[in-house]
Amino acid sequence: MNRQIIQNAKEEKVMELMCEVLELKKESENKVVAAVNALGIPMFFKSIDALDIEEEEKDRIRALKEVIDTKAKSIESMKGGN
Amino acid sequence: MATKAKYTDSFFRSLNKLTGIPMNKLKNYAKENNPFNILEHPGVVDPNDRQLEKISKLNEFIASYNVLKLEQENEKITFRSPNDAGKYFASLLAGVKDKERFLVGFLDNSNSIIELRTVSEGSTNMAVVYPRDILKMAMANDCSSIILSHNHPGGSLKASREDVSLTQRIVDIFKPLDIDVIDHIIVGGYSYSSMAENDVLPKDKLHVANYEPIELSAAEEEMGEYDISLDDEMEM
Repeated sequence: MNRQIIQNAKEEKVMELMCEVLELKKESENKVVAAVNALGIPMFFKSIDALDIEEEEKDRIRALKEVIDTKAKSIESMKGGN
Repeated sequence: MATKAKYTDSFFRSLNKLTGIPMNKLKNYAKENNPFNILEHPGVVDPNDRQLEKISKLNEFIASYNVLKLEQENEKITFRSPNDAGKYFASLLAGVKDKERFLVGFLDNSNSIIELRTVSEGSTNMAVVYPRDILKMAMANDCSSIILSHNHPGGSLKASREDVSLTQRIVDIFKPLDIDVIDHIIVGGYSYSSMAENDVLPKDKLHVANYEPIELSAAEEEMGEYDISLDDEMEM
């Protein structure tokens, strides 16, 4: 198994979990998967606004981004000893 | 440890949206504890089965995401050619037939995307673009250049006179600020075309900057021959 296959498998797993957390409609899920495949996950989160899905679904993705960003900040502040 | 200063209402709303745990439970727990403990030890907020399942999925997602992010965070999307830009915007606009959407990518000095924003979303035959909004977003991103893209719901890949005129209006605003408009990608069906590659992209300021809203109707007339089919270039 080469690095690319491992990488793809990791991305697929993250995508699968993300779709389960977000509970998107099937059509939206397909669009999200296509966008992540084309952009990569970090860039996908910078392009939420441009996705062609319902606003309520975008809000859920933004909520997910806020939670993961807050967790990252929380870990950063612990590293700084705060 | 009190967490009021550290975690915003918006964060609690987000956590509530994703887990279904009521806001008051989340906030009460966070008064004395790190709210992320909830993901590791959901029992502290006494969740029902559905909420427990959501928390568990969210926790698993965050752990997997963080591993992947470490590997991908230094990867930027950089536009080195009209083809790069075309593929990027087509991944977001391909197949959109029920409305016209106008996107702007704000780029740093290496042509990497800082942020992508939708600046207009209209009906199949009309969208309105507000130059002031684009300017505000550009300033907020401290960008070096911008790239425009919109879809033609009818599927045409040809830049209309209106598309060229709109691009000129944007160039007239941004050129004096030393912010280049490097391309305008038109997406029709599952294909795209580049106004820069087609040599129809306005490059220099011609008129006094005009900040009035720009109406973009669905005139999709022919101006060039250049187009690339995504069937050959990318998988959707």
